[in-house]
Amino acid sequence: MPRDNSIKKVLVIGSGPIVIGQAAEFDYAGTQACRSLKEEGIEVVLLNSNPATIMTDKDIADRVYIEPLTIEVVEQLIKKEKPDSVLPTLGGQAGLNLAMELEEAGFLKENNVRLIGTTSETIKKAEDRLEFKATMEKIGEPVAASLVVENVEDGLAFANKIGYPVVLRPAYTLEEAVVVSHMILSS
Amino acid sequence: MRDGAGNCITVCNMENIDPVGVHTGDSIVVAPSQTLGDKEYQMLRTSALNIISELNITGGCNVQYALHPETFEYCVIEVNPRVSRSSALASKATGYPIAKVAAKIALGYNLDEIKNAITQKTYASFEPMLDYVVVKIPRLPFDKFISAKRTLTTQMKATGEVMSICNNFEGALMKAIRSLEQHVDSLMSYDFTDLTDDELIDQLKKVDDMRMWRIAEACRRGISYNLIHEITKVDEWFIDKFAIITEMETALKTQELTPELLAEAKRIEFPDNVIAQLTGKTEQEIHDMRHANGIVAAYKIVDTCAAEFAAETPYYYSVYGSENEVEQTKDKKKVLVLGSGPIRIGQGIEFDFCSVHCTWAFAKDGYETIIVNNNPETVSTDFDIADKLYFEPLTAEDVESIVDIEKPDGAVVQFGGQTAIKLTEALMKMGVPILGTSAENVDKAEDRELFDEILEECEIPRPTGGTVFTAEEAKEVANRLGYPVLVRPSYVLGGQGMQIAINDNDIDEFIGIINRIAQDHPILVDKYLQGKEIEVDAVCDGTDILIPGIMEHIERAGIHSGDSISVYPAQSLTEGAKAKIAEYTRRLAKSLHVIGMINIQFIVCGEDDVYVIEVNPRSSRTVPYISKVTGIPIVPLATQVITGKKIKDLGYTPGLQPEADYVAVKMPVFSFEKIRGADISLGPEMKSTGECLGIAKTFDEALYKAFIGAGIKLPKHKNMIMTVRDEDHADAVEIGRRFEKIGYHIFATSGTARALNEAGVKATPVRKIEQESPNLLDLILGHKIDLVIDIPAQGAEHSRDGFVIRRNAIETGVNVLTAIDTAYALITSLENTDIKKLSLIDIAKVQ
Repeated sequence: MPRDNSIKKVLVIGSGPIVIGQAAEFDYAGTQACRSLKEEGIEVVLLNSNPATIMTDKDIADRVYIEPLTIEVVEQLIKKEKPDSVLPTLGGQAGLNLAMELEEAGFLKENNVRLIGTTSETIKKAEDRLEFKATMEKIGEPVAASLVVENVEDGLAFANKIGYPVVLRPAYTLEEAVVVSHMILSS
Repeated sequence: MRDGAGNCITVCNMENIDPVGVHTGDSIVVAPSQTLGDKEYQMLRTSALNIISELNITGGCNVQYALHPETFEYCVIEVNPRVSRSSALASKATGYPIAKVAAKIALGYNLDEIKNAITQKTYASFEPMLDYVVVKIPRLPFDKFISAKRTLTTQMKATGEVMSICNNFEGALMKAIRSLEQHVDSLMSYDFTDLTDDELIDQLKKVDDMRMWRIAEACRRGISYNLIHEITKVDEWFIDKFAIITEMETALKTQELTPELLAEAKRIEFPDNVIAQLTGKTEQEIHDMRHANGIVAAYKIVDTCAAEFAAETPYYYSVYGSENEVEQTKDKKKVLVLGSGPIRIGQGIEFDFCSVHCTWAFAKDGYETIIVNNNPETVSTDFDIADKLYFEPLTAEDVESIVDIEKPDGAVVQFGGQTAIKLTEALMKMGVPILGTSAENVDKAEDRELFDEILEECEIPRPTGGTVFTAEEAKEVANRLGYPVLVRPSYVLGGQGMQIAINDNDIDEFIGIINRIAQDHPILVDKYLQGKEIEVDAVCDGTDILIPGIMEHIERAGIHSGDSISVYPAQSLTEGAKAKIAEYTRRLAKSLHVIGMINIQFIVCGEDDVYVIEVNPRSSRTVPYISKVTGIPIVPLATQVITGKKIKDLGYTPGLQPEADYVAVKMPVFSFEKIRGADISLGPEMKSTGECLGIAKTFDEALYKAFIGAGIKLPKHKNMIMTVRDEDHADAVEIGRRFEKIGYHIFATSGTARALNEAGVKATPVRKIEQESPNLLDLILGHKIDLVIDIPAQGAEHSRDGFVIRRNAIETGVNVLTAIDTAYALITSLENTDIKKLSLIDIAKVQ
């Protein structure tokens, strides 16, 4: 398939400040992606709040915004720069979350911007614990026993049912809920 | 990887040496997987391809599995439908540029239409083949957070990582260990010899950063692989490899060092200094014996295809006992650029930014560029940044082997942080010219006595102080100067080990901590001056200097510059002070014969009393930020100066440049919630992991943007807690009044509450945490508090209470400020939250 010539101006969102768990790897990926887009003649608009990155250099992108990574800023930026596409999967979780939020709110559609690369349905299927579990079950791929709980009692009951040790982590979709999933010890 | 037409391939399979339960980011990882049988591997590969197809991924994706070591039972842990830390590692481990290919797929290309940039012959639809072993080890921050829990769990704690490549696992592991720069160079670096067997077996249960060294000790004692495996769940294959390394230690200790034994030790990458230590010889003797017997490193190419096609992009790793594949290049002048190694607190991606820009500038000037680095996360180790990439540890021995093959015309050390600077002396011994500021002058800036002479010569004041080796000497200096004093080791970055001491007891404690690691260099004791902290980066060509701008820290001196909020242009300096700063910078750069970059930190007391507190004749953490906000490409300019050009010829007027039209605020960002037990109070030792920027036409908007960028979104509940020292009561009243005005309800500990109420600021007293409920802790844990302002006392006597308050606040997502000036900045920002429409500034247009 030849390249889609309707893509002319792409917004790339970086990962923000370096914190434990989200480090230099996204500067590397983002920089490589921007250079790859530019070599195709695409105008690249870059947003990242981190000034220490190479991706926020004027050699890497055509337009560089070192601004906070918030919904308001991205909305304002899309209205100002009018990109035709957003590439959300190369800037780590921070950029991906922003793009998903705008997609779900219908903002991207209203402003004639589309997500390129992996689609929002795919991202949801992979990141939403319940949808992910359902998808894996559908194709017969084993996942650890897990349950989304909203209080300690349910958590304890489930943990006792599946047996310790268990892993607890925040669920992607529910703000106050916690997922308890069975942890398998192996090497 | 999968494209829009549904073609998919697997790029890389990796195996964690640690069992499930340790976060992948904190695990030691090996690629390709070593203990999987073909059947297991094919089973997981098929599963991954099924998953990526079912999810309809177009681009890159990463799937994590838990696999039972004995049965074929497996389970999918997680799928990341995007590039990730693992994909960066996979890219560097295989040479397959995942992000680049993912971007092309997003544009509509299919895998069989995207050329493999390394071979230029194959396409992205070819699965990479590895004919070598890759090991990744995380860089954990426990050297910075001494009080933190070292246990590794499902919460990642590493700030960075190193990667190494070799033709055998033992060699790759040994190389990765010495790449960490944490005073480790072998499996003997942590000593567990004083444990009894029972104690050791018991300690094998501990899962922390020293686990590998405990397993090695268990191997030395002959504890069975089976038992070690039962306790640690580390596969016996890996335990056997650790044992091969410990057996080599024994062989070197007990046998005569024959050329055969030496060759075998080098094959599994024992460094010369470790062999010397084990054989009782000197490092030089080992070095000479190696060369006399032709035992030298050879370099192999990472070609993505196990040598099926020729690689066009030279990306090398070293091995012993094999044939060299490096192409001899002689046409151009060659420059060696030394990278900055793993990301750690105090040495972050800023130095990668500098290394990459320096490399590009040299290439533009017609040089052949060679990068040496070991960090898989960075841009500098991308295959097409330099003409040649050596993925190697940054030690003198490893660099020398590269120098022997490449014979570079010069090396640049001033862009790779302290990692590169430390190699200066070794490079000079190898006969490699240091480009830019000479080694001797680098030394002058770091050697206290030589530096004092220069300051005197230049008539520049600095806080009085002295150099010491022992606590007794330190106390004598401190009492002569009068407390408080700053205590720190020389030759460090990120203020490691730096403390403010307020009495003799502090000195005893701090010197004790510093001397836990043997010091080659003296410890510095300086009078602590409380003033405005100012920072300058400049380029010097030997005659003229160029200062892009003056940065001012919001927090008063005493808090590490990397943890301070930094503002450009300086907002509160008099013209007189600015002129003095520019003049002192010029004098210092000239008398240190700086060619290239220099970074200077000043303290300004009163109107224009300017003191120098630190000089670094190298690129600094602030270089990327000041380059971007002023539009002055400092690193390329410095690189051109290094190659002999003059500032005047590069289109710049020397001296302090006119201030930009924008105000930029650099805000530190911390990861305290991830490191259990770490003390979050700010001081002279750096603790932040990253930064963000707020840039705007006005200071207020820039500051507001910076706080938002750092993730501080207030107000929520409009409740806050204040607990400050007696000397801060006046400031607490002023800050409290302003928070009250924007609707905050203030809770305070008794002393602070009394001071606030007496001044007419309403404050509710709360009980201390050891008192009955409801007390301070209940308030914090009740999730109704936005902010805690807790100013701890200086010195070592940190109250247990304060520590508990701060930790609990951080772990429940409450913002905590530990400096008065940061509190002022935050309230200023909150008073401006009516800024609804932010002005967005295109940095690419800032000239």
